Amino acid sequence: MIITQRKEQDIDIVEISERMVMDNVAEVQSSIKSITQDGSVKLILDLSQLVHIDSSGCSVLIWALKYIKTREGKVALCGLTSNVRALLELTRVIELFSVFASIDEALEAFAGKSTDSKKQ
Amino acid sequence: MNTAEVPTHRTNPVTSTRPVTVMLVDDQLIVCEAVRRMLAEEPDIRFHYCRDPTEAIEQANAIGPTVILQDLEMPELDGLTLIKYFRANPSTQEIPLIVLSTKEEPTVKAEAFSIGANDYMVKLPDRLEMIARVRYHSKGYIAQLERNEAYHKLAESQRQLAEEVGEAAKYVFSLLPTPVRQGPVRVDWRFLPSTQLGGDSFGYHWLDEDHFAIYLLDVSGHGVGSSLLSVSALNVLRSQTLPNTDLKDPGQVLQGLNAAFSEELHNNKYFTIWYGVFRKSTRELSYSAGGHPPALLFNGPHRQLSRLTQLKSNGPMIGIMPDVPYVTETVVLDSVAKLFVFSDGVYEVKQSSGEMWEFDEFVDYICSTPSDAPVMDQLLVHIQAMQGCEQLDDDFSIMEINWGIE
Repeated sequence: MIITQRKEQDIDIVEISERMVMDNVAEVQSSIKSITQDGSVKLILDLSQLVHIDSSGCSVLIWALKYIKTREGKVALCGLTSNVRALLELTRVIELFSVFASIDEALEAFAGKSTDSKKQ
Repeated sequence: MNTAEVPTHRTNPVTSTRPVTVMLVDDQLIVCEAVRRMLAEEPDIRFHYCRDPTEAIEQANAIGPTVILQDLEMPELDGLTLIKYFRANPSTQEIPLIVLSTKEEPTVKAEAFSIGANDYMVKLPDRLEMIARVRYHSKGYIAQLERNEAYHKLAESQRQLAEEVGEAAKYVFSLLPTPVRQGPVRVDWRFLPSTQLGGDSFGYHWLDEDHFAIYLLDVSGHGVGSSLLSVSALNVLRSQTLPNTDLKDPGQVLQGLNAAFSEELHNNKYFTIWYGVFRKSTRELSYSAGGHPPALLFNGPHRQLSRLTQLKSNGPMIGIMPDVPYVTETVVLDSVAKLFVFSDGVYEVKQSSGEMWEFDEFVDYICSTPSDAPVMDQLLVHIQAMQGCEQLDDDFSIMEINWGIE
């Protein structure tokens, strides 16, 4: 798994690639914590390079959602690959999130009127 | 990556304050006295001397020096031989040894180094040099001792952790029901916990004379914590103590579990579950699932004509959404029926090529295996071969339930 991070305006864009599974979820947790420590607590998780996720990975996404919400922030997912989408749909974790096709669409939603509308 | 907590070893009051302890072996009292004076004003340096080289090993064992200074010319024992003794003795073989000799010949120095001396000073050196060398060698040795100690503690805590996981795995095994070989419903299973315990558990039992419940659940995460949550949910089902719930109705059961475990769940743990109830009098199998892969049902009038149905149900993972409904689905079993209920560990396998095995490939594999073959054993061997390792990354849990022809 590789985690990369960049900032666009006041929004943290975190790309999680390869595999997010039982063995590395703690790393995702600590990265998200440190990345969102300062700033506006707006987070876009770019999963377009994530090829595999397991139930522990789903749990970490739920954790991220709760963590960001307790800090009155916003979180969105974008670029779901078919494998990742399949598990998020099976577990229905997908319903908890705002999901967008691309980073641009997520940025647009964050900047604009609504982050609740689900696209893609 | 492992996130389990182990005792910290960064600061250890015993090792971090370990004093510099010098042991000098020299038969001349005057040299001993001179060295003692050199070191006397250094509060962190303890000094011992031994004038009889034949007692040097014994004294070193008792004192535990962090550096040994020794002469080469002594009446009872040749100094080079003593170096060899120090190096052969287990408790002194790692202690830095500085030769303190009047001999200045390079050949003597070279020989001393070749048999295990760490340094060489022509006596008597300057006080500052003596202190600097004593400190330098002691510091390295103390750091080495601390590293060894930390390593042993880490190894010990990992051993304890593995033991705890082993105990938890035994406990999970003890709760699993024995296979049912005879009667209208026959069940067999295979369970191979991962080294870290993946949080799977399962069970089955008659709820009354007509209804037989079958269930399998998988807690997210791993380790003793996940496993304990898994068995506590399992125990709720085994003991039939879910409040205001008809255990014969799978949708109600999952709703009940979701209510019971939503509030209690801590530490980012949730679980997926497949729960089914077979009704003997009508041959109906009703089921519901929460975020769980579908069970596979082979159903037909006889073996050759059995067809596969994936028993899907789209309830969410238990614990992530309060108050959502879980739907009960129903299917009628034909004369011959075979059901596989399993966790994702039986198909989410990272192949040695790096590619993941997909659910559809798993289904194809099960379909291509002759129905009278030991499917579960063959599957386990197959995925172990694909992964290139017998120990799997996640729990392998699968139940095979048969109705009809025995």
